[in-house]
Amino acid sequence: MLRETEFSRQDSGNAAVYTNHAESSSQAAQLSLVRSYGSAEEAVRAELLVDIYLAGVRKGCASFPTADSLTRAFYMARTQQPSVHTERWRDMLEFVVKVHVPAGERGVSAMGSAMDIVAEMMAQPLLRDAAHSERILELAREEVIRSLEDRIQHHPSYAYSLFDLRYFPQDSPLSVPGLLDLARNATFEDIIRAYEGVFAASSPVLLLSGDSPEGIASPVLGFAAQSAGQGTLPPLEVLEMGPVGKPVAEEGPSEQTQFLRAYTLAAVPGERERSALRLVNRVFGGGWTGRLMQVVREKHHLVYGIYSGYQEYRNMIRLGTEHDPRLLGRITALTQEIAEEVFSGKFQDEEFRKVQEQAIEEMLTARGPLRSCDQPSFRIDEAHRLHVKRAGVGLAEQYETLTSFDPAEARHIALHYLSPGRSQIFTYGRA
Amino acid sequence: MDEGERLVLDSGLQISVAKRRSPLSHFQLITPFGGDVLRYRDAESGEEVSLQPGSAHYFEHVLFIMPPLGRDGKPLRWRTNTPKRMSKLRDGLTELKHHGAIEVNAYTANDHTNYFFVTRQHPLENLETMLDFVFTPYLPQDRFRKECGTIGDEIARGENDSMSELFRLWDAQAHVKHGGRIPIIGTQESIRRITLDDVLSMHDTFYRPSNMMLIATGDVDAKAVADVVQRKLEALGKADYRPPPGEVSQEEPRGVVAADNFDSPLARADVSRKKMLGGWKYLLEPLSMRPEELIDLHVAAEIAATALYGMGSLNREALVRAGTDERTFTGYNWDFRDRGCIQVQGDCDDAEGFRSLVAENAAGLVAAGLPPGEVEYARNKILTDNEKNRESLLSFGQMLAYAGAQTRNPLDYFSILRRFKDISHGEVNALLPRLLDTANMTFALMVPERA
Repeated sequence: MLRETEFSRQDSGNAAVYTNHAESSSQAAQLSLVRSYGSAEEAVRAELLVDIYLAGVRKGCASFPTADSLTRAFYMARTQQPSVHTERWRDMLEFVVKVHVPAGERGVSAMGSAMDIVAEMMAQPLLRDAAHSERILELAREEVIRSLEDRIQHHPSYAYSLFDLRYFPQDSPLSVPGLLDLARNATFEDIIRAYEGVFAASSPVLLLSGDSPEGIASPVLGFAAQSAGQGTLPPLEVLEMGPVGKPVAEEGPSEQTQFLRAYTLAAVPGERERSALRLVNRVFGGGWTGRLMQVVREKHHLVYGIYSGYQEYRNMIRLGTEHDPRLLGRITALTQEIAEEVFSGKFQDEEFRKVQEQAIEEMLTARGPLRSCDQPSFRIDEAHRLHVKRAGVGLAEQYETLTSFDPAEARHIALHYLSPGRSQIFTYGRA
Repeated sequence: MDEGERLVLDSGLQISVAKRRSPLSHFQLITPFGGDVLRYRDAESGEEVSLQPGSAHYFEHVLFIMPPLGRDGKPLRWRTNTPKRMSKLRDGLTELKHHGAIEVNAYTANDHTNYFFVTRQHPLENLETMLDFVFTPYLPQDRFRKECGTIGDEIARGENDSMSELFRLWDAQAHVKHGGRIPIIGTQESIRRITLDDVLSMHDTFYRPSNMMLIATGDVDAKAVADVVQRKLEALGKADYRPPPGEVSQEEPRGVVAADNFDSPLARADVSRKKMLGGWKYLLEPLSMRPEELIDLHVAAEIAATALYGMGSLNREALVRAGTDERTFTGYNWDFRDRGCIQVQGDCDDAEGFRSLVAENAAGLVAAGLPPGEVEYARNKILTDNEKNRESLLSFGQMLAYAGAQTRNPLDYFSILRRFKDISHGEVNALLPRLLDTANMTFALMVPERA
């Protein structure tokens, strides 16, 4: 099943085209135009300006002069509005067009209709029409400002962004207030320049999965031809957090304490070690059956949820929860106790075998919403990780590695890379 | 589309099976006992019984508890299911995860509680495990009480989220007597009043097979599923029919508790702009309405909400031209067994202006009717979105679950889909006065604390 998720490459013009055949009720295409900006800060600035531009584009074009009329055009063609958005990692900025259509001829026809509307919306937006540009620009700017303000108001995710700003400036160099300033002060010319700049030296990558991938390719390839760039995308490198220190508390209006704790790795592991650390993280707190949930929630009933994640490209295991501020001492002590046990290899063979089996089984699905490996959207996301972000190895290879571990080797790797003493606590909430 | 098959066992348990091409299978065991249910009629005595708010949700949390195994690793028969304390407890979620299940969880909705798992391996064995813990409450007394801590934190998390609080406020303003006026999860006070005896009585009442539905979707075989369930019910001594509890009317009157809160809006330190949540409640009478009438009301409500406020509707476009905030203005409907609502939300500087605009616009459309083109647009949008959502086996199964909670037959999901395709704009318009009754309209405002 995992082999069937693999894509084959056949380039077209300047675009790298990856194709996968899927017998499913749907088909999907994703065009990524990716370029490097030299620094994360430059890429963040460009992303924000392009986001304002795209918010403006979604306000309408010559044939569909409002946001509602644009949406209506797609639905009357029996497709959802394609997602046109940006993604960023490090100094790389990606301009994405993602389209989802039904299987078969109906999907091929829908793809043609959807991309015709996308092409017009991008070519003749009201934002570029002198009679409307000022009004549209202000609408778009305000929309982006509001979405940034909303990020501050969602306490758990804002806590994560504050952590990232403090400890990974090489990836998250600007604060949300800094982004707000940038959005407020951006000129029309800045925004146009940023949008055109994203195409200037981008590498186009087209991912296709469905029962007629060749049929859905051509309308998207026409769009890719706008990009002048070509080249191999660099693999994603592992970042490291600086030295850990005393607990850091940021004050904010969250009534619950947002509690994050990062355990940094002693060195950057290779692919095999990374697979083992994924399993050790599962024992620690990677899901319901992990120790964090079983002890902090199920034994002590202190929190509703507490999980950890192995951040492979930030070289750490980070746990997160939110709790009654009065429980800070207990949460700190309990998480440390659990880390001391798991990171020193104190887990049963059977416990390890069970998380190993779970990890293998869960490779067949992806969340948000739950999708299985036979579906084009699952396959496109996997191909994006491999061929655009260039992170990690394919699922079949991951499977081979995961099945090959025994608990002793995982313990050895945990002892080598993890130390309960090397942790950074970060909290956000009322003082 | 193959619509599946439905069986009813001697115990009264309904089994609905919808086979789909997938490497996975998805099983859901559902009781129509949700957060809205605060009263019911006891099947044996015929008396009406009241419940503490949050009861269904509390129950959902503790029902995963399973007794320890004997020294030989096999289940023991315990003298009591409610010992004072017990160590080495198991939980159903972990048991399923350790036996190959990929996704395992439960949720409490307004009109049902659903225990579910998705698996590729051992689907029928895993189904037996789920039947075991759902049909056999094992509740050590100390463990039962401690769950208050976990649920208390869940409540605090909700209170720490501004939009959750705005929705809670709207429900409290809209509903006079209906259970929907109180959050599904209950309150810090109400959950402490729930006793072990209450919960055992609730299990006996709401978790008897005649009151429950099993939905299986994906790579499943109806006969094999039915055989496993029948054998398990026999083993648990639950294979005989016992009548389900009686549904009672919530006697929710027309009208609302308050038309708005503009004089004392919800003030929060964690919001930066004024936000409004407004809309209409509507009431259904599942005890007296035919299933076709219930379905028509659900279908008409979704079409109306989409045509009025869905992105792309001409009416939304007109409201934006008239001054609503284009970036945040949106609307939708929520649908439950005996009630629903059509809601609008958006940032607004002028609360009175927002309300007047929305209320007058809706009154005009109730009088004039939705144009045929707008019903057609809403139909297209709903069916397109539905087709996309169906691709996820989990989403598909949950759509069957919600349909089942509304009509008591999950396969009515397909009847609802057909009705979306063929309901006429005249039929939708005929139901608009019931859906958009001015007396049932209320607006909740949230403002920054310092404003």
